[in-house]
Amino acid sequence: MNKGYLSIVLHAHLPYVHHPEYDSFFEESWLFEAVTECYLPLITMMDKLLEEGVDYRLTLSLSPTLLTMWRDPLLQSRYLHHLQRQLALADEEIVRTRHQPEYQKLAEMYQQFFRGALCSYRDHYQCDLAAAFLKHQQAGKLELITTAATHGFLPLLNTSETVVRNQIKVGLAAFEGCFGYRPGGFWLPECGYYPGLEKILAEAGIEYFFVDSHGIMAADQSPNNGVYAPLNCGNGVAAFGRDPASSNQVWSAQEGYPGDADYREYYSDIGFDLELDYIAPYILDGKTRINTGIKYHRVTGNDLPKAIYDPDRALAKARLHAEDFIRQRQSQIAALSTEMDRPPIIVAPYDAELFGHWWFEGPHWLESVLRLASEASNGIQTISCGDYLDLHLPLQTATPSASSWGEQGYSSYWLNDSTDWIYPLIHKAGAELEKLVCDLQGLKVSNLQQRALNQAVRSLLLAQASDWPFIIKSGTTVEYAKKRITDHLARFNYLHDAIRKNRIDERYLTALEVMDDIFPDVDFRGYCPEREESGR
Amino acid sequence: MLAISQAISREFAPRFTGRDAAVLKPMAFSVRELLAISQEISREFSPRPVEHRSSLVLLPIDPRRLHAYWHLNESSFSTGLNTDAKPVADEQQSAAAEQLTLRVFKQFPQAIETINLAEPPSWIDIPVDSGQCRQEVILPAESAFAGGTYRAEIGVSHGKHDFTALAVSNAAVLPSPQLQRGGGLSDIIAQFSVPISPASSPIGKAASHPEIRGSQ
Repeated sequence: MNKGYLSIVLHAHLPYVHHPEYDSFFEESWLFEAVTECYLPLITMMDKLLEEGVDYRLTLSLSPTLLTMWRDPLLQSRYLHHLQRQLALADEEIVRTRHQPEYQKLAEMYQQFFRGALCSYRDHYQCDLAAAFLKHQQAGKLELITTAATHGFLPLLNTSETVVRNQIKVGLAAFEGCFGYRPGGFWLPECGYYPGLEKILAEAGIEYFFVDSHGIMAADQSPNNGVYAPLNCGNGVAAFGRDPASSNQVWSAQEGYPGDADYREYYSDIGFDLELDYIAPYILDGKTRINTGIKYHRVTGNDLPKAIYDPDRALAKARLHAEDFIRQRQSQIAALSTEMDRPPIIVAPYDAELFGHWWFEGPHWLESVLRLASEASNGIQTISCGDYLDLHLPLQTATPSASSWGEQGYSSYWLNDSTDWIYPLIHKAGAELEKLVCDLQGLKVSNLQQRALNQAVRSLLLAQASDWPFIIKSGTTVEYAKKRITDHLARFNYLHDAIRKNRIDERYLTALEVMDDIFPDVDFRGYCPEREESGR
Repeated sequence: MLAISQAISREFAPRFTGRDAAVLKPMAFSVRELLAISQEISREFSPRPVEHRSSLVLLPIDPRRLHAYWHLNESSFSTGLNTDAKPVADEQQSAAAEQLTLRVFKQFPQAIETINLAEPPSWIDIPVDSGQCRQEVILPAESAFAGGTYRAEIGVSHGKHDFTALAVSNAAVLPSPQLQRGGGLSDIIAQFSVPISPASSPIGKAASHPEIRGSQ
């Protein structure tokens, strides 16, 4: 008999990076790397578990921006080109390392890995990753959920309920347009929650969402079961809290599994390690070093010579770590069961891109965890939060506290000295759009005006993405992030001005539709609060 | 067998159940044309935080911090200045007498006439420079200011009890600063539930954004 539940939630998200105005664009490689190293390995893992009849449940949150990029023909063709280049590099590496058998063995591994990715992506799934995941949803193994349209950090967009509502509704519509149904669960971007958000989620038909542990622990009523049972926010929407221990075991830079010395080192990439003349055809503009995806070393101390990676040893370690993870959940469940009036549910959410991209062996670890949990004798049952709610256990009513899963636990990673200039701009644009839409209420709008209005909504949504302030704060591709915000707001300003003056240039509008080709079904009328009121 | 498997996958792979996948609009533009349009719009319509009317926005940062930003148009700012005041010989005294001030209230603004002067104020006043347009507000450590709903006004303070508001903010809800670790929880549940750190570790957050390490 199962004594407790384990709900593993993967949140897959990348910002919308789509630049048809360039022949190639470096930041599009964020998507390409994640497809090869994360999404395809996860699909392969699920295919294997399905084929073997392993009994498991997993939750996967797919962001609307990611779904859009997966389906974009331009990005699909660019990804295939990227993969062919990786294969060509692996071929060259096999020749270059012919006198270094340990390295050559790894080069052959990468050749096989890229070939497998190509076969799976192009031939097996016809470049359709959403369909690959949908297959597992239909098989009853996967619960698919989604998030806000462009992953806007909702606590800082909350100066207007219309803005927050639009992020949520457009996100859900994008998911529905892709999969044909509305999800019951919703991933709040960066787990950013504020009291009152549950009202908008309920209006959108959402049954549950996730908050970080302190969101539950600092709720307005002390949570009787800690983070091991969801709270009813008072309107029937349930909030599930992140389990600190299972998060720490995977996330922690110090104690987390991914830092183990047997695992592959992310930072040691031949794009940086080899002679420039040799690697030039595979890096940016032939001179700027970038990751190529071929990495030969295992995690080694900063000042030590890099030790060579041993895949067999790494996979064995992943299995050991999976056993450790399950063992710790078992002892947690055993202890909690004595204190609770119901089976505890341990919610373990992670960024999907950790698995395979940052932690190369992550998909193997996850596969082992799911296999071990499927053994009845282990006393753990994997479950989705939707399934848990279907058990109809009575839930304690309480409102979680405002919180996020970012550094410091609140909003400071997105609002600080380096990012505070963003908010007056995006709030102002939101207010202008709201006013424009309200002003047009009851007036006949031409097809061209409708297109311009819908494109203005897209521009604003893209400017609101949480990724841009995150990148600016982290200090990585700062100029790109700043440019994305100002470019999208400039596009918004252009459209707003053109609509107000009734001087819409169809050619310019079409160009913007080509560049920001997202949310095909968006309806500008959703930006009018009066309409929302009457629609309820 | 591989050929059969691939053929079946090609022909019978599950498809989107909803609307058809987005159809790429015909590319009636060259790459260069698209870039030119993008650059022209970015150049000509770059965003500027100019508002026609005065406004003040309050945003929550964490249990002890708020962020305020504002815009005051010329006319409202001159309205706030007490132009009827008698001339004061000392200019410094005059400046101190009319100070642009951010007044932050717990819960709702209290009408000036209802303030009981004997009680300690339920707001905090932060003098701000007229050239400023944003301010981080660190709330006092007293428990009275822990969490809750805040509003603010920006205006001109003419003296101890004379304040002319020029703009009023939205409400910002701050989380409670104290985790309710004890209240009714068994030791075991509390022990497991209390966050090891209040948020994701740096490695955790970095993981969602390849670009963070991509440049290393």
